Amino acid sequence: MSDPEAPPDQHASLSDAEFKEQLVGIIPALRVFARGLCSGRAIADDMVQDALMRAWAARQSYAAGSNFRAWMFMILRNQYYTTLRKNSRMVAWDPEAAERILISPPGQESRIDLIDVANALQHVSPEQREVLLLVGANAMSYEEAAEIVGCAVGTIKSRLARGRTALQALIEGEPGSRAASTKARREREEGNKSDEPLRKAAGG
Amino acid sequence: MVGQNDNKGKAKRAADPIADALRRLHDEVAAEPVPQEFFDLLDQIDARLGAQDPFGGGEDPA
Repeated sequence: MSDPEAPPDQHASLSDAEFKEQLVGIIPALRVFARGLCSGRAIADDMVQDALMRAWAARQSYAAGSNFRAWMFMILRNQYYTTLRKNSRMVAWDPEAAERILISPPGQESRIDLIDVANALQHVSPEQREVLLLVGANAMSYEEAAEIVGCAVGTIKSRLARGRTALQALIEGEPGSRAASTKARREREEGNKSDEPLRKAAGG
Repeated sequence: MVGQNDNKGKAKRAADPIADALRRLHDEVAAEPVPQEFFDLLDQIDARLGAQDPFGGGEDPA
């Protein structure tokens, strides 16, 4: 796949109209990735728009027929890390963004609240966050994620496993989260069951 | 069949709450209407196609 940062190479290119059509089609997926990376909706959309313009400027370096999605995600990812180094606001948890995320209906205790997972995502490392988003949220293959991140497939798997563990721990450890409440209630119920013989013996 | 595959996928995600939550996070954002500002941006590209394009198309964006 062509490197977005590399000078134009000898390969077939899309026409400007075809390239623009590709850009339009990839916008929702880019917004998902950007929103997960930096949480704040305005910051995420700004980042996507910048990525679109960068992609347009580098369109001659894109090889027609190669993985456009991965190419665009690489541009967005590179931009994210560049901005992250410059702007500490990128890692701040945005409560307004959280309020816009729908909450799963009550009673479905096997499901995790989207607010809990969106919050927790902002507290794992950027390397784990991006893999969780690429593979977990965007359903990419390990190979495609490795291409975007620029690492080995084994590294992707490792970061994904650790990211999932970290995410689970954060969600269950968050005092206000439903997952924490469910876990606490189950522990109380298990504790009550194990205490029952003692209570019976005590006449209670 | 699509219906059966979809049900299998849902059952698999239900057994994995983290994967399910990440996919739902994806679906929520992906379902949002694309803000008009994105189309305005692409319209600017159209306008530049008809005029002299300062971006050139072959320059290194970095």
